[in-house]
Amino acid sequence: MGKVLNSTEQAWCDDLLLRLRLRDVPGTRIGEVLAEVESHVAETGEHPREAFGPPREYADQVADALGIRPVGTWAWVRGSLGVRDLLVAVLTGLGGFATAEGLWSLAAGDRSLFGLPAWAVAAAGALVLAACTARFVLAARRGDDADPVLDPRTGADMVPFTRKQVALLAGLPVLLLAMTVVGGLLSR
Amino acid sequence: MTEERWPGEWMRGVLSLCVLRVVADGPTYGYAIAARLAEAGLGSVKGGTLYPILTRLEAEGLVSSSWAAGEAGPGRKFFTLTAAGGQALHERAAQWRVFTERAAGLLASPSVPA
Repeated sequence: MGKVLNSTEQAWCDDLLLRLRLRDVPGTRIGEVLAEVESHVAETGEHPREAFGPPREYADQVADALGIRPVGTWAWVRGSLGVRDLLVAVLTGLGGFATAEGLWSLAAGDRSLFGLPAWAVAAAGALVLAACTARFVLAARRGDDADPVLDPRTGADMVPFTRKQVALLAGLPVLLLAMTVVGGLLSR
Repeated sequence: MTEERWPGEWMRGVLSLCVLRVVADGPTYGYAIAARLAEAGLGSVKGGTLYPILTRLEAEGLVSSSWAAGEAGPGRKFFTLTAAGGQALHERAAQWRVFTERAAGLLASPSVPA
């Protein structure tokens, strides 16, 4: 499927996708709606905003047509955040802190938390961090709550993780940890 | 030909039935349905109005849909009347006829000044 939308049209569609997600419209149905918009816009030459109005209002119309009741913001946040997600978030934070603290001490030549050897703290932190990342990636890929936006024409995921996004997500923490090592070395 | 604009509340009342009627002529897609409605004199119907109606009709089981690849571009979603849709169209069109006749009858009656 070639690119058929220009950038402002794509921005409108991206906004619509977000609004449909916030209204709890299922991923397969979101794919249908986006494909309908693409098809209609290609046929008429109209801008999506002209044909479909503001994304938020159109998302409401679609959700109403499907009989999906609106959910309040707080109810939505509570409904989409499980205890397990919170636990993984806390563990990720602790793992990140332990890794950084261990690496800093290793570079600085000190002992680390509670007088433990720096390499042990860094390794344990990295292990926890890796496990949390794996759990996050697996859940995003094929968890029960993944609900991908599928293109009804090809069955393809319409919003795949691009290489750039993966590089950014993985690269930023690695960069920060590298800077921690440098910081530790400088503190010698 | 001037662009017809009908009151929104009238359109909301009858558009779904008219869309069902257009789909009854054979598998058709969004843009063609809008064109057929305009040709029938119902004015231009925006995509933002039309597709939620089709979505609702599909959710009610009155139409079914399938995607067909276009020669170029993003393809078309074709809508087909289901058996239940044919039944619903028959019933609602008959009801609508009675309703509009009664309304027209009332509106045509000479007003008596008090």
